[in-house]
Amino acid sequence: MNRTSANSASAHTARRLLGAALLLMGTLAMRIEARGLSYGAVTDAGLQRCDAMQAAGRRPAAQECWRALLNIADPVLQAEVSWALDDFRAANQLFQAATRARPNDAMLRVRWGELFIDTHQDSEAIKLFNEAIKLDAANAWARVNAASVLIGQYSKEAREYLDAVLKGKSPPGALLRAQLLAARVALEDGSDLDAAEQLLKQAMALATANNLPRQEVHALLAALAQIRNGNSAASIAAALQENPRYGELYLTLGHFQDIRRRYDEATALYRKALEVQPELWDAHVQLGTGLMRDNRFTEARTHFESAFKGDPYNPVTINTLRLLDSVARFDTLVWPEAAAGNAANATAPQIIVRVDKRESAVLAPYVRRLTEQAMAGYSQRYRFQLRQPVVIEIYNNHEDFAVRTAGMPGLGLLGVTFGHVLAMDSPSSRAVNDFHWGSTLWHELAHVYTLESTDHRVPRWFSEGISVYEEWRSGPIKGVSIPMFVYGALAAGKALPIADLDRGFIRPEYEQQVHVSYMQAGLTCDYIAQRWGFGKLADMLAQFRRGGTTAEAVQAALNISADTFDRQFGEWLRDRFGAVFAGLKPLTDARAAAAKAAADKQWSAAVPAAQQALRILPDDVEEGSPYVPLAMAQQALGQDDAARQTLLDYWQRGGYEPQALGTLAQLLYKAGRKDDAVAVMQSINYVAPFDYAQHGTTGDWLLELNRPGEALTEFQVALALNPPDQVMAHYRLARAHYALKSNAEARRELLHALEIAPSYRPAQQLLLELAGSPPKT
Amino acid sequence: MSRAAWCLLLLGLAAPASSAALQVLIAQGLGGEKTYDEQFATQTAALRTAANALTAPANVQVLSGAQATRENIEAALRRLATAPADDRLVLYLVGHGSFDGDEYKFNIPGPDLTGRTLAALLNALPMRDQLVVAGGSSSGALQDLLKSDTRIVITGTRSGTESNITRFADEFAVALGEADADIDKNGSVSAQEAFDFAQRRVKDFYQRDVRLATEHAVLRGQRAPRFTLARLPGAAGEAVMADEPLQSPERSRILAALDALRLRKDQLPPTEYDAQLETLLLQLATLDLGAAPGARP
Repeated sequence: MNRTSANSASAHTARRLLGAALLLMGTLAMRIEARGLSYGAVTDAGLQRCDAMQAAGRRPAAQECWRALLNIADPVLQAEVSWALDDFRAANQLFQAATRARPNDAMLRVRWGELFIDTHQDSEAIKLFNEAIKLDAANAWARVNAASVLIGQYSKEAREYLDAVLKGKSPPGALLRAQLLAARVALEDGSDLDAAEQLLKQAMALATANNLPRQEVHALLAALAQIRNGNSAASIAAALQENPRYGELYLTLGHFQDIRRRYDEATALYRKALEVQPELWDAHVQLGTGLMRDNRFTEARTHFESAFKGDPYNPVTINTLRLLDSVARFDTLVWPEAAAGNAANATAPQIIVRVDKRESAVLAPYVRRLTEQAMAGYSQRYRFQLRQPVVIEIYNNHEDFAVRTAGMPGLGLLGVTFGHVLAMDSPSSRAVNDFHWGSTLWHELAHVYTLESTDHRVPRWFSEGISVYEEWRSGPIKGVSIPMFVYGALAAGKALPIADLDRGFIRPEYEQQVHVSYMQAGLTCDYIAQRWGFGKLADMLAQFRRGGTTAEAVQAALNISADTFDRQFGEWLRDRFGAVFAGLKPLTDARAAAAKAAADKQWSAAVPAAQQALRILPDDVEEGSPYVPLAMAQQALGQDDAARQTLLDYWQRGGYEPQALGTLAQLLYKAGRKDDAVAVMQSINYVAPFDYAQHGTTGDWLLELNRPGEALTEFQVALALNPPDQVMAHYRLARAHYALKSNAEARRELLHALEIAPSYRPAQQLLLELAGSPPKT
Repeated sequence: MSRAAWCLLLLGLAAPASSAALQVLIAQGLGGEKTYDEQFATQTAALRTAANALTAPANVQVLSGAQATRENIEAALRRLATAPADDRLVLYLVGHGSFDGDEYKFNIPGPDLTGRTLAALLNALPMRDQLVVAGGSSSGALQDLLKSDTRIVITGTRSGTESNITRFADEFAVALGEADADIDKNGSVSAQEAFDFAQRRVKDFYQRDVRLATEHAVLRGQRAPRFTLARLPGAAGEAVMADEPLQSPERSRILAALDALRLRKDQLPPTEYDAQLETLLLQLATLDLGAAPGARP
């Protein structure tokens, strides 16, 4: 999501909420890149015989069989055989020629479309399926294939295509494929496993009755058992009995572990898939992706390279290989720096940061400070010590981050947590002030704890709720900051029952429901902490670790039912936000009036409008916050003290607009409140860290406060930003070193400064002092 | 008398000794609308202030409003034909330009001033050191027309086809009064420093707003780092124009030695370079600030 493509409310929400980041979800559709089972779509007896060998895991025999068919002068048959032998170009040309020769053959277009699916060209595939449907309105094969593509694109149209096959008079093979597809969707959805089971029973009966392959039915039954924590051994054995080289069995099982965030289990299953079927290229891709989630980039690359050799058309493979090239140019920072075995650091948590070389010197001190602070707090509050180092990847190119997260560009997230590894956008990857990267990091680090402490069993809503709660209560910008449209949704009764809150994240039913669910989850945690004490949140985590459902965790930890919780939470919401719910219209109007008056420099009109809005919602620090026009008006009216107080309120409630905070810092400094001024300036680093002037000023003020160590950090960051005024940058460093009594370093910096500007008086003066001959005054 | 006071006195005496004068002509074109008229007037005011601090008021000519006709600009330049060859000229063209694919035109009341006419007028002048600053739209078309070994040409765009209003011109004018532009902290702003400052600010603007830059300023000319355009208010008393002999022989010797040392930087081991650099810098600091007796040389 970006500021040009979204309305302002949701754009700003992205700055915190998507800064809040999603946990990674799997993709709905798995891609099997080799020519799959045709289930009767292919009618040539010779070809069916060869395909049957393939379906039984006898690939060399199948290949020999297919090659023998190449001598038959039938372009469609040759296309199928070329495809089966992985000669996609030839297959494409042959299908093209055949389609020209037989323009009214719907099945020809269906098969050609399937070839396009296998080569990852969905839009071409869909075109061909729709052309086939135009030629033959009853063509179930075209519909089931179209549905398979559209499901992968999360399109609602998919259901129509699928239902037409399921409810119509479809050939058994097409019907079987539709049942399998519907069962897969139901399993991924997870909300009605009984329905999935029913579909799979029907599929099994249909396949048996029509002598169709049953291996995929067995695979999905195994997945169902796995999801239910049951025994999948019988289904696995049945699938492998039918096809001993059926690697897709484990690929399917791995996929269903992936979408439940059981990454370790998924990775193990992908390895099994490759043991069974080494040329299963998608398994290489999935395994590579899983390894990257576990910070094992070197091994991951070998799998992506293997995948590329076998399936050069997969955009995920290509994108990820490019990403790996980018990451190879990153700095890897490890904290603490002490060598392993240093007793003093033996119990300290370890942090690994991958960051672009051009940014590492700027971001490193702040990332380290924030991460260490978060880890210390989370370890204590959630009674859990991480078992592995936290790996933080920071991407200065958003598309690299998107590829890292989903294999493809165009993702609207800011951060994602895989377990002990998290990835996020660098503040440089977006426009200045586009998001509060410090909060994003804080939020993601909370996920590390909720995921790792529950072995990834925590439900989505609770993990997000804790992360949002921690942003509000312990993060770098404190305060309960909720976008206006969320108040609207809550006022309209759109809060979901707690036991069903995951649905708001996974299957949103209206625009912005994901954002509303984030806030509801955060408020739920806030409510639990306020009413029962913070320890109950940790107790709930323990319940989830044991595999409990939300309802069970609520009952066990809070001693009430989920229904009772919902009723009491609703009452609490109304008590807390009733005035806001009732005043949304006047609040919105007053906000807009304040903003307009300030834009028109009608200062005396801006003040009452902003004050009216803030009376209704004092926590309104989101984009368009009335605090900003109010402070501007107060300054313009010569009321600096009032402006200072307004901006101080804004900051303390979580406002972070850097320009407003810069003004606040200056006002505080002028008022002699240098400590507060510095605190405000330091907080800007977590939104906009690439302004060298800001670091310079912060360092200067820190020196005035006799905090030379912190000043040195600010000056080092300023220099790393390659400021135009190198003289001042080096001179400032010299001053900090001098204050720290590091005279050799001070001298070195002075020489740098004076080499550029030999006559720069302050530097000359300090050089003379260092030389033991202070200038006469 | 302290050494510092002696030094200042020497500088004060040395200033009038320079015979080379700085001639400045500022031509402010038509804005076309109030906003641009105000913008150009602000630029002109800043340029005039900077010029007046560097040279005698009689050497600063400003043509704006109805006065900024082609006839008057041509006349002003022709008047300079009698100036000594070692005088230096700065010509500022403030305002819009246009380019029709063949001809650059500076937009002024009445017939516009063309790039070719301007080139002919400048080529006819005796002054070797010339600086032309045209920061407005399409000004890049002047680069080839005004190219000369001794002329510095600064334009706000890289070609005539960059025809949008520029930010560069505003920032260049700001640079002449901005301490941040004075990179070498010598109390003055050179043409190079002003250009760098303005270019930096323009780049920041487009990056900050995530916009595609519609202007790309160009500077051509070897002597831009030594062509002083402004003295900053409150600057310490030292050389105003880095290419004019305004300092004591001792100071000149040290600065020359520093220049020579910096040229040999790659040939010396870092520790030796640093030691020699420190020695010279201490000498200069002692001279400038008057260190206590016994200062390390």
